[in-house]
Amino acid sequence: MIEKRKTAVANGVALHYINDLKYKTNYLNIYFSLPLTSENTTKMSLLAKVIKRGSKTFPTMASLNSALDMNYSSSITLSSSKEGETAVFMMGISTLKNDFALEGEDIFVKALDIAFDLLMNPLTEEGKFKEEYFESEKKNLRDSILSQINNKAAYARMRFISAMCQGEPFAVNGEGDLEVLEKTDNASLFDFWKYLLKSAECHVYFVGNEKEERIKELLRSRFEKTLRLPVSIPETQIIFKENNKDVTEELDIAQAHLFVGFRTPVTYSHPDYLKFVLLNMVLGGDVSSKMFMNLREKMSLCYTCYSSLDGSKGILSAYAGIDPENKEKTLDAFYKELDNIKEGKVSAEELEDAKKAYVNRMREIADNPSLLPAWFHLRLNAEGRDPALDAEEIKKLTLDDVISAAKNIKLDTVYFLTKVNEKLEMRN
Amino acid sequence: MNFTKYTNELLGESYFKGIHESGLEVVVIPKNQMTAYALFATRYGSMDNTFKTDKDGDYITVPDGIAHFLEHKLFENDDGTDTFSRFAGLGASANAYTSNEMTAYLFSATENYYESLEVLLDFVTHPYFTEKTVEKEMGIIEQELRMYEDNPYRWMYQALQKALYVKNPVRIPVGGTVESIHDITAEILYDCYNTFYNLNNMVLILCGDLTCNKVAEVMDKTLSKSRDSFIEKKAAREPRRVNEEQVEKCFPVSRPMFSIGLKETDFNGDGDLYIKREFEHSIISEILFGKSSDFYTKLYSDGLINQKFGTGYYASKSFAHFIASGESDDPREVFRLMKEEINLFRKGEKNIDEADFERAKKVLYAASVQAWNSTSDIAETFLDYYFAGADMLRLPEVLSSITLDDVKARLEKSYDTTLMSMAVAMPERTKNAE
Repeated sequence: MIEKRKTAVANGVALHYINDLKYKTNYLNIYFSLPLTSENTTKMSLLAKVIKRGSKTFPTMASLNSALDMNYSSSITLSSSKEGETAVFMMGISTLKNDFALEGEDIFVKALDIAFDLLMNPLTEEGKFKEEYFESEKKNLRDSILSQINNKAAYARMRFISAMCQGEPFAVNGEGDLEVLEKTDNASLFDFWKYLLKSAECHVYFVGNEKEERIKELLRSRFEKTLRLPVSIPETQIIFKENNKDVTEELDIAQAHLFVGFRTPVTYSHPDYLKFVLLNMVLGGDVSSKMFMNLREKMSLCYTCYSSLDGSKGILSAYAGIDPENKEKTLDAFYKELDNIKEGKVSAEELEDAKKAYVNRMREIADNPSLLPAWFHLRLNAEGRDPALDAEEIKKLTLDDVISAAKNIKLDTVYFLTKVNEKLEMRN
Repeated sequence: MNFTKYTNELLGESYFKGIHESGLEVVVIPKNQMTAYALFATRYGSMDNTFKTDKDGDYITVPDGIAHFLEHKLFENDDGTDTFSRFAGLGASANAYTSNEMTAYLFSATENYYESLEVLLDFVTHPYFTEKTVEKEMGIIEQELRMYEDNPYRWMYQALQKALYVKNPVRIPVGGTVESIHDITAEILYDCYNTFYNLNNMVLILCGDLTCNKVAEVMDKTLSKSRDSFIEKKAAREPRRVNEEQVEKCFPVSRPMFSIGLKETDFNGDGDLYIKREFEHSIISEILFGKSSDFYTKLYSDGLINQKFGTGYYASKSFAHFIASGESDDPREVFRLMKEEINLFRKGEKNIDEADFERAKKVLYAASVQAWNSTSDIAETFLDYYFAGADMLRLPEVLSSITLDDVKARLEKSYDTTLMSMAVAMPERTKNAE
């Protein structure tokens, strides 16, 4: 089990501390959470871009980047994302450990200073962000949202989730919404910045070799000036719908993308969560799975196919990148494998291999300091979950657990992104 | 079997190297981490399409994409078992990749390290292909290639190589084409396998909580001696000009994406000289086009580039190029300004000052230390340097030896703006408007 200590630092800021001596890098991630709405994700995305342009101390990109470079190429990343039905604004700092400083510099504190300067001390004009930065980042975000179409499989997944979860908060685009963006002006973004610092739930994860007391003190002194009254975040809705949907969209592409989405009754915190994880592993979670062995290796239908379980929302989905002609053939083969699982047609070897693959994956995560902050934050509401413990727990599950999980998922949406139907186009 | 230890005190890292009786070189990089990572690689990639052995009278040319096809097929065994399943039974995960000049098979494991190593050495040294299994693979690889067809990044990468190079076989797409792979037969696969999967032409790299003795035991058990290797790869004389200055293709993308390249003509020296050349290029790209540079700041403020702009230097023994890529509404202007910037520095109208030079070195120093974090990153980076005849452990020392004059000399020698090309992925609407 990973030794992780959680303590309150200041004003509703929690520190999750993990000591690591293996890597040559220190990681500190700060997460601010608000309820998931398209307004919150859009403003978080825009804020991430605007504050990275400069602070009062580092008013230009050149001065900021040069200070980071001189501090042994410290990296500060700002991003927004959705975790279940929570909108998350993240500032991540990664630095070379102080042990490798060539002239005894305190690399970590210097990076923390720069990061907090960006976060707490942005460059302002007339009580707003510098107008030039605001306008150019608004354009950059617009371009970035529009460019989601450039990566076809990721674009198809986004369209699939938006179709499946229509009407639910989870349908929103994690990067932002164009309509909300158009309505966002500099003054409202500046208000949002103040609101985020005051009202968001805040968790800090540190993985590295700085002492815990030191991290606490560094954070306390930096947060104490901020009045913090975090809002409560509604729990993610677990939904089952009466009817299922079949959605097809077209694009000028060579390969088609097929998603099949199911609702499950579990998220990370549910006691049965790992049973659905194991179902996913047997179905399409690894190269030893039924989907990989049959759809790819036996039937040559695809190069990429897998299933995945989103434990933040409770959605199990299967994906295959296929020839546009092969939709029905692929669906038939997929449902046949799912039926096999429901009927208990899973060999002892398949079950063991699925468990072992998950055990290996969890142990690799436990072994990799750079992945731990994100892993733990996603499971914030699943107190006590730990990659090493999950690895032990999944070993105890049986075929019956997999069968009952398979019987408790419900088909919701089949989504197909395919190439433009040429016959139709010729008629036009 | 004897191992020699190599150490870098500053990094606190070391590795052991030895040559097994079978002819295979092995490197063990001890790391006290749960995840062990192994790479079994051959000096054989998509570039090696024309070669001769001691049995051939003349050079033979094989279909494009065959190294990659072979990579897929080695996962099948004569008893019908699938190699993925063999690793899965051990709780390890296996994979493989093919590049221009190498094919590497790998596993990552958190237990059963030596059993997994045995499977790795066994499956790569036991090929099994029939016309039927070759035929079956066509469908899978065809879908892999179709996936790349829809990927503008992949297209730009490929198109840029074809634009930059006239003769160099780096022009050949790693996976071949849907057409070229249909010429592949079991017989050609065996020919290529027997030529390039000679243990004298390969290396085994392991990183994790492993001991040399136990690694040697597994090698003794699984490997038999390879005959002496004789491979003559046909060298292409690359002229000092680009094939095409600019290429374009339409995609369903939101705005133009570009990839700009400059090809290197100097390949003298390996070992530390190879590392030095790579660092000199990285320092130049950091100073001229990095996130603190005048160029980046100006173009970003003018809206000509955004945060996706990035640069990199890609080196090997037989080709090397500097690449800058990103998105822009006006890629031609970015291309023009980039050439202009290079020439301002070359003519001395702009100067690399000492402070910029030191800053760039600090960035690269941090990267060369942090390259020693995860076992997978360490092994893969080690392999890249190894095949280039260089030693990853030497990075910090070589870096600190580089002077400002070295960098200026590199700029003078290698940054000829007539050796630059650009590939642009254009949005469809632009096509309709024209």
